[in-house]
Amino acid sequence: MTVSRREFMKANAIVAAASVAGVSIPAEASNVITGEDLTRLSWNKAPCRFCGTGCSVNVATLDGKVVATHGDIQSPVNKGLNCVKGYFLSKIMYGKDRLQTPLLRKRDGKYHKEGDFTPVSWDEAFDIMAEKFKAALKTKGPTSIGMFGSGQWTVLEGYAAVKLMKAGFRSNNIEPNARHCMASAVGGFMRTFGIDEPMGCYDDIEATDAFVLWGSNMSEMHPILWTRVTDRRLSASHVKVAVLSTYRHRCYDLADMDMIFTPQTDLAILNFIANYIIKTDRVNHDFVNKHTNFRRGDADIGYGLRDEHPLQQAAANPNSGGSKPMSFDEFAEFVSDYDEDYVSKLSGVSVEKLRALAELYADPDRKVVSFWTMGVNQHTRGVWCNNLIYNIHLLTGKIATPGNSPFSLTGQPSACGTAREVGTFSHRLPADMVVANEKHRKIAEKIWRLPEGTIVGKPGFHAVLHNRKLKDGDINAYWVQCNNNMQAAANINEEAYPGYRNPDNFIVVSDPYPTVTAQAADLVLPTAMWVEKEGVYGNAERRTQSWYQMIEPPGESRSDMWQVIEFSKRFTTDEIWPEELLAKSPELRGKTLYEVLFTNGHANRYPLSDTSPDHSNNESEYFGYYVQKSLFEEYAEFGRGKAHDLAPYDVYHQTRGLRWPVVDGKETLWRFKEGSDPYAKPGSDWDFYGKPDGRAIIFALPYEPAAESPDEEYDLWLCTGRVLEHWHSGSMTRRVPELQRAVPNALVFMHPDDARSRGLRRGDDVKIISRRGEIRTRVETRGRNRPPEGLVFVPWFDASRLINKVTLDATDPLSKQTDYKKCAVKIEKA
Amino acid sequence: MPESEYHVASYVVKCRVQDGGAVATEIEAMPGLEVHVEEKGKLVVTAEAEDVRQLAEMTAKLETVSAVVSVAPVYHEFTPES
Repeated sequence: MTVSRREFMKANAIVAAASVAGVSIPAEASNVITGEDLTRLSWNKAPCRFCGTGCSVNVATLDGKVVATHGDIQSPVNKGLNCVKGYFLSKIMYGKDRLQTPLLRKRDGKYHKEGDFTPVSWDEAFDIMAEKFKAALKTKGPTSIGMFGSGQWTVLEGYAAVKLMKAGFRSNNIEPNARHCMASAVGGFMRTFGIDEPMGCYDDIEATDAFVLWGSNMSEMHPILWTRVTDRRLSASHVKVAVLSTYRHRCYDLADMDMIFTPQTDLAILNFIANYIIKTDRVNHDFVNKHTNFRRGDADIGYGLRDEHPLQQAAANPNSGGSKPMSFDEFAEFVSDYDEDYVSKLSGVSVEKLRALAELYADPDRKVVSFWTMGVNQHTRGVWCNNLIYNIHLLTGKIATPGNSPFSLTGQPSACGTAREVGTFSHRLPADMVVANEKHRKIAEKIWRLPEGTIVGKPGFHAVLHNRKLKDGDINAYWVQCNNNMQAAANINEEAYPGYRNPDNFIVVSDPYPTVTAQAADLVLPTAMWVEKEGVYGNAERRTQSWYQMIEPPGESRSDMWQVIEFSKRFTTDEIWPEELLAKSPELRGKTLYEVLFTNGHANRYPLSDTSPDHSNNESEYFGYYVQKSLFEEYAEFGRGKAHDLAPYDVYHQTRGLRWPVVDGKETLWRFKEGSDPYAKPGSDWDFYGKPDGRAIIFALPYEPAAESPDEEYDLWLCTGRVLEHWHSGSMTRRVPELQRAVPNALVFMHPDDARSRGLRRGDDVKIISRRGEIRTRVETRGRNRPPEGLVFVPWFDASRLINKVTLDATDPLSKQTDYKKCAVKIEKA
Repeated sequence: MPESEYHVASYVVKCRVQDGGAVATEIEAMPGLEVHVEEKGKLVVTAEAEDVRQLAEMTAKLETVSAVVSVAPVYHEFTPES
């Protein structure tokens, strides 16, 4: 390699950083003369593969390989910056153990549940897979198959999967891993506003006077947004940052107001704030009278455990999301129980700190952004907790204007775009529609060119039920794409693993890497990832972003979308649809699901020639039409004119994304506010049009205890979560040497006094034991996470120390999302 | 993956304005790290390394420099040696 090549690379690096910092470019980098071979790098934009922030990354390829990345300076989200995960993004595709070929468990040359993984062709893989799916459909019907997808699916992949499952197989048993992550947020939005996703956007960060973090470690989980929060705090001295969590983490370094609360008491703190706003007479009555209703929600709703569990049997209103109207005065009476002395005692937060926090919200001259993630969503009262945050923004009218923003952050790159907007949940259809609503089913059937009655009106099993139903033998053919649920699901010892290894079941896992989930499967399909395919993601602020295929996937790997569409060729309508439905549409009789769903003349209406001449597009070249654009435009029909409007597909390739609804080519920054949201009716000022009367709901909901709390034997709270260097289960980041080296194994973070009282020292080998299982790990009493006495924290990225053997699969009874943040454990020397 | 590689990376390092000079001096003293711009508390820094481990260690070292408020990686490119 020549010295000049190095100089060129270095100059590029300097220019990129100087542009981002907004400083002058030094002479050494500003006039590099380059020969043709030095500029062979081909640069393209792509949204980052990791979290829900939705940073744009510039990706360089050379000779078919990604060789460089830098933060996209044109992106309004990250403005040229990267976090350490995005920084090393170029390496996620190049782990040494990348799967290259389908693998089937075989013994004596035939499929066998207890056989060894053996390379097979795609044909053989789909043969056995189709045989197993057909057998299940024939014997027990559509409820005996299932699919578990992801908020990391591209929008188009999620959409193709929904079509295959809900329209083709007529099974609503499709769920995304976003059930573990965003279901409570969705439930909160639907219940309070009647329409999903945040009303505000990231522009609120630079416009606000205060940030309140409710159960979110943004510093490690959303570092680029945290950089924006930091910049705002440091550049405006009046801005305050309040951080609430059950243990101390990196965000506390910036906190003006720091609070550690006892797990589950966030519910009481939120009710205290509402009470404080009312008692100090700072309710924005004009806003409240015009734009809200009050309702009393059903209480004592159980913990989403199996019906025979004693806690379920004890609940007065198990799983009820019901509510009754109430007046403002009745609401004021309801929250008056949550006075400062009671809540301080319950939560462990001092009265002074509680008052100062409430004052941020109550002060009419202070704009407030609330941020939250898993601390609020992974909660047996997650929907309630979301509702209660909206309460305090609604009581004060601090909503949907620049700097006033209750903002639910997301964990996955397309939890919003794919899981929520496409509706890859067991009860949903695209654009916030649901299978239980006949009108919604008819709209979907019309767009999909299917006879009425194709879509089944009964919701399928939710994510946590999938594992229970696999274990019970009610689901027998199961396809997992784009996630690692054997590591991610709670209580894997008692539910997930027995389900996957149940001899009656056939489990298929599509993944680029041999994850824990893949290893528990019967058939593993090697999968293309990120820029090995063309795709679309939607981030937390409603921003839809697209990217082109830039490189070829390794070996026989194929994208999730190719797999779904190709598999549909193996089924004909008369094999799996009932006679009654076939009689309604004789022209579909005997056709393959591929013909019915993906090449019906509408779903494939854009020709191959419309694809980019500068990029490969493996799926389109294989199927002979522009698959991504055709599916996108069909999908967009669901939301256009219904406040979910997306721009024409090609526009997304030309922009750094747009925030929906996109009306007349213009994105929407603040929804529900007249003037910034074209759907807010003239003269309304605010219009919560998700509800028929345009009013958002303020809910009266009580504090109720956690499903399991520490007792004499299991005397510690266990909280689980992520760390900066690893993303979720680590199946990608653990293959990047820099990230793996920085944080190789999951440790148990505990208070030094808790360690001492158990005769433990930093670095000791210990067992963490719950009523369900145990793992071994080492003690950490220092470092970035500092729990209070009585609570320990364990990250879950480490496949060699599966903390989910220990956790409890209690869920929010309304959202069915698991509470990974609270169960009781004991710790002993190993 | 070839055994030998050349890596270059760049960072925006932030500190208080009055600490800029001292931070620059401390970073310059570290092998492989270079400061190209120091302006109003913002520094443009590059790291050059022969393998990924070295680069990771250098990134970690930057974060330990006293008075540094934040280290934001911006650019990373690597190429096999020929």
